[in-house]
Amino acid sequence: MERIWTDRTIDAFFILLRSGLEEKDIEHPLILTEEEWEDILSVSAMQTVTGQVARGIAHLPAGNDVPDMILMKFMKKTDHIVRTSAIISEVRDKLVSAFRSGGLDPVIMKGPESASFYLRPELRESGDLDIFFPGDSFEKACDQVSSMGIIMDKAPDGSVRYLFEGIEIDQHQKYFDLHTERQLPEVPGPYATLLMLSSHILKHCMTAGVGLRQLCDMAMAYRALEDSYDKTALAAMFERTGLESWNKLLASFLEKYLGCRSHPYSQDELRDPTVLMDIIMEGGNFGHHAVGRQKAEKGPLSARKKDTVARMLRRLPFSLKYGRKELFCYFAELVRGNL
Amino acid sequence: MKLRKDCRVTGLRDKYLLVIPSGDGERNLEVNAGFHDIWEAFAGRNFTLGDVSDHLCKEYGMEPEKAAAEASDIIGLWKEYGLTEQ
Repeated sequence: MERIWTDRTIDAFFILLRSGLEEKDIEHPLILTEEEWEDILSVSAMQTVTGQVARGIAHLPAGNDVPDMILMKFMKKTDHIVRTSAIISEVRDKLVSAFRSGGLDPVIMKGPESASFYLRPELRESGDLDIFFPGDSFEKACDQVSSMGIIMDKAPDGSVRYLFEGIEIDQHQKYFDLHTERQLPEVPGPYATLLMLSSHILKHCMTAGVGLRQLCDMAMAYRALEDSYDKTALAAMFERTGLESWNKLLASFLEKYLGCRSHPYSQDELRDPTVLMDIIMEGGNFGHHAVGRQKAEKGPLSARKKDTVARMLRRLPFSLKYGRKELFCYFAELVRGNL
Repeated sequence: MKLRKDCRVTGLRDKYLLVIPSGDGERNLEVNAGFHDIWEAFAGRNFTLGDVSDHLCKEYGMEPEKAAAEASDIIGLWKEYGLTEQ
């Protein structure tokens, strides 16, 4: 994807994003051209963090000029985000209630769970709902969905997708995007949430791409859950699951760009997160904005799959370094799912 | 009466936007801080003309007669733009 923004725009973007995530005032004014403000609006949308950047704008010092049109555009987008969040919350409650009346207990994961870690949950963009059912209850849940007259599509990883009250539901039988069975933490729980978020980001880094929203989720989860876990135990869990290098890289990014120090590593364990920044900036929001991806998504399914494979091959050096075992498993899953 | 719960006023720095959903899309109107403050005071609850008038007396130090006239104008404006429901 061509870079459309200047280093100054990127620096300003991250200042605003950090401020919005922490709801902290920005000390110095940001003097930007109207074009640079438009770029910030554009990057915010691509990275699905418009709500958080808008909050950052609210925290600019008094007298910091921001073009009226930019303010209007941010307000319109955040209004839409808040409305969608309310709809998803309502649908989530209805769906959970429906499953519970059938004796089942879904675990809400990813988007809506992550939103709860934010200081302003309603501003965390969500488009769908992810729910998890362990063991046998997954098939029972599928039976219950069928009995409601809803048609499900099966994904290569064994999850199913369907529409419920107009919202896309991803129903999972695997909580973690991992193929190791080594002493995985209990679900639900803080260790499980952090491992799930971390492995999910890694999976997308190795495949279609990932956006800042997911990194923000991780940062906010680290902060919100800080008193609920032991950092030594967390680091040990990451090591046990073969994701120590990956989580050190992730922590480095979260600290450098999002100001998050609530991770389990010391300064000398952190590393240069540039490679992760490059992946994020390539597309944003699971790579949907990368030029090739947008074209592929408008084409047939085969084009999308071809694009995904091409990306996986491009990211091979990264994947071999940070997620070797998972990479081979993802390839196998992709092949099995498409036979 | 009540203000429509699907209508919202969003603020960012010194700008405010009223979003009014409708069947064929939505309408966006720039409003001022005063509109926002009064909207926030009454959004999500039942109120009467007297409630709005009392609010203006208390928050803005208006004389009762003036407050009653202003309250009537405000509610008239809300009704004109389809912002209320019974």
